[in-house]
Amino acid sequence: MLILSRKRGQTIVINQNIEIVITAIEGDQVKIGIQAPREYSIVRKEVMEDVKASNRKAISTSTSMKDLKEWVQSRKKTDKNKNIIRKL
Amino acid sequence: MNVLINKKLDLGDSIFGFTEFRYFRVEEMDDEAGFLLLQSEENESVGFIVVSPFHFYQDYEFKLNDEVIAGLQIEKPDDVAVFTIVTINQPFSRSTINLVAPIVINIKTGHGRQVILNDTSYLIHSALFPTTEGGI
Repeated sequence: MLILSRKRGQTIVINQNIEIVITAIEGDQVKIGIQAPREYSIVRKEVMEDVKASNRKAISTSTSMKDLKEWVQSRKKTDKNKNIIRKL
Repeated sequence: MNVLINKKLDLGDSIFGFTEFRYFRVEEMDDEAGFLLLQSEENESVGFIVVSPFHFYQDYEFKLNDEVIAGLQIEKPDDVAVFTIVTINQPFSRSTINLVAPIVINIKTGHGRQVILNDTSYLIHSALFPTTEGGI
């Protein structure tokens, strides 16, 4: 990994079309400004990892499909009961 | 949403953690609450239960950034459909939806992608039923 030292306000250029500027340094936190062509998506890595983990957990299985179908059925029954109560 | 049922979607390599799966189709699972199955065309064991987030969170909103609008060639708001992935938990009433990473689809072209919202107050594991037990 290339490591460069930068001061506040200084910039790094990648490939002549991405600019990364250190806008503020406060204790152990730095604020970074990124200017990139709009086809580049920029996200925080830990958020991306959390979304990956969530997607993996969400993969539908026969169990989850069964749970969903049972809920749909039970709700339809409840709706029917509500209708009966309304009629009464 | 209905216009997408059984339509082939091209999600590119956008589904986080599943970038090798590109083509999906949408199958209807429940016409009332709007549960759909987003099924991989390339691997039958890869599928996600999805819903329209607006059905469960009426106030849900986010701004599409230029990158997504350009990438999906979105011309107007009516071109867009939004899904969120559901994680089914036990009991079912504790299931969650991912409001941080909606799947945005151009219904005209069938192209879509999962987008991560930066600086949002929504949660990856938002309650599917925020106020009621199982919605019943």
